[in-house]
Amino acid sequence: MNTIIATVVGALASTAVLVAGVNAAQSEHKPVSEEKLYSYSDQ
Amino acid sequence: MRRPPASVSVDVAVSLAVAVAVLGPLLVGGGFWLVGDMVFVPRQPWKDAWLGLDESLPRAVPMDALVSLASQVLPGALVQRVLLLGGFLAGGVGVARLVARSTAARATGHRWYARAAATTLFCWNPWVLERLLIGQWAILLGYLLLPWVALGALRLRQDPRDAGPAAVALAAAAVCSPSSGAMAFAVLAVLALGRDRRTWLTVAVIGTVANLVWAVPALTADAVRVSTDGVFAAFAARAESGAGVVASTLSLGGIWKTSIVPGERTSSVVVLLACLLSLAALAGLRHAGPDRRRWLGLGLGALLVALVPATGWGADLLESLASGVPGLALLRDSHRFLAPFGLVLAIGAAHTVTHLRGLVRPRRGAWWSAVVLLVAAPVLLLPSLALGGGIPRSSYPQAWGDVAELVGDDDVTVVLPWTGSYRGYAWNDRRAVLDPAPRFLPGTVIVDDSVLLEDTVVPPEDPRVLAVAEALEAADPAAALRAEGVRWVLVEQGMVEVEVPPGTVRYDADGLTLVDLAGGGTVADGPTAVRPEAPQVRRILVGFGHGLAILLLLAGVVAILRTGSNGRHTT
Repeated sequence: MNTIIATVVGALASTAVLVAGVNAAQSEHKPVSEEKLYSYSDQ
Repeated sequence: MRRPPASVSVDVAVSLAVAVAVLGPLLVGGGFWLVGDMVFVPRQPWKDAWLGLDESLPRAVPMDALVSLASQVLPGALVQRVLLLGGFLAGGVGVARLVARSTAARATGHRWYARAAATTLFCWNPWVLERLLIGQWAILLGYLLLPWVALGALRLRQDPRDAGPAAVALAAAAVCSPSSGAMAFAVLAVLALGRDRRTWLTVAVIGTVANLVWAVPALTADAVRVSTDGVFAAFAARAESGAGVVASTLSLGGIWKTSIVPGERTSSVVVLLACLLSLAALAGLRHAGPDRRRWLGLGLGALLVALVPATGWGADLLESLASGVPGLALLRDSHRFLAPFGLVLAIGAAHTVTHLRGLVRPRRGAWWSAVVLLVAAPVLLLPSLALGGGIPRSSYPQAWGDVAELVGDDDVTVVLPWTGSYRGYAWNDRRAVLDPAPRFLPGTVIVDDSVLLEDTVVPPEDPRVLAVAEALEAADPAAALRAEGVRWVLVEQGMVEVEVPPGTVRYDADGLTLVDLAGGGTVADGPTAVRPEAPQVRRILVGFGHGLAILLLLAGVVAILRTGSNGRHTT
């Protein structure tokens, strides 16, 4: 039972860390571009 | 001197750790966080507008008044840090105290890790990050006060005479923003109301009086035009990933402004894992004792309010209702009303953790790993919240202070470019931020308050803005502006080219140009459309509303002190 619990918890944790970490690292702030200067509210 | 119990110290330590992890970059250096609606200035001059006595919608009334007063004695940068740090500490400790106080806790007991699970989920979730990145710090503050509203509600239900904590919490929440006050009222009602009639009356009085601070200015500003055309659809909650809008909101995300959504929230896997966390927390409510239905009702109600405008028919229905009842415009940006759901999930998470801990037996020790995972899951699923989501610190160029010195308290200034109220300054990493001029400069400062979205424009809601827009379109804009009582035109350079009305340039440096129109003719000094005189009746009513709210706050504080004093005498 311990093995099953630990495996499930480990799988969930490692998936969360991996997927969330990679996606967070890849996202970056994009400055307001010149052509979007009239729609700051969206940026 | 009495020392706080060890449990409180642990709750404070966990909350402090979360707060430092989020606000770290702001706490260790100078400058401001300037993003979206989050605008702090070194010293915010006092204006009647901060109490809601101008013609604009009272979105930051009376929080602006408090910030202005605080910045008279403390630097604005410090005020920002105190408010944000204090908010996170209040939220973290508050939700931990709420868990410790819950009915079931007395029977089963919630250990520190269960309270920590509530704190991490409550303070570290997509709703918090997205509100921070959109700059709605006051609404975030209102959210972080919700546990104290709930604590006040539970005490009020237990003893209808014990209204002090609820009164203080409601008054504080209503100060933050109109939607915060409305949400706090709803949380108080759901958790406090029972069969006792006196409780109904107390809840009604507390909720109404606390919200007078913004309700009276809003109801008496009859010149204000509230735009409802298409706003419910434009600001509705939306899907962040392929998992859909329901999955987004169930996991406390789904803000309308997709450009600020953190990278991990665009992953369906992460959103679905976050949904799993929410479901685990909701399952924990089964162990929440007799209050579980109230918590569940509160959470599902918040989820429903957030989701209704996301459906086509919901947005249409709200729009048609709001054309007759302008107050319903408060419900635009419905994602913010998801806030009570965050509180409910935090309570549920604590119960789930306690339940899982109860499963630990000899040869079943691995359940501890599930306990640890539940405490840490909010952080693992949203790493972007660490270090404030990457908001950079910025400092105002010297020009802002120089210009503020030239403008008088009774002057009217128009700010150009006339293209909405958000700016992308080079010195602020070109992040969209609300124009700081109305808070930096003394006197009346008019900025175009239309909201420019990708596919729609929410028109101005301030009649003064319409008057200035007409003047700028006139054959002689300088003369038209003078006739409206406008003396100064502040041009913010470096974004778009603007046509500047002719006048004397009194300042031109660091991206700011201040043009004095007074040299070309007489500036009207009587009441005009741009500088209307607030009717005396309105001033009295607004003052009366603020006065009653202050009385409520004071009465609540006195009641708490008396209760504490009596408690010490009897123990």
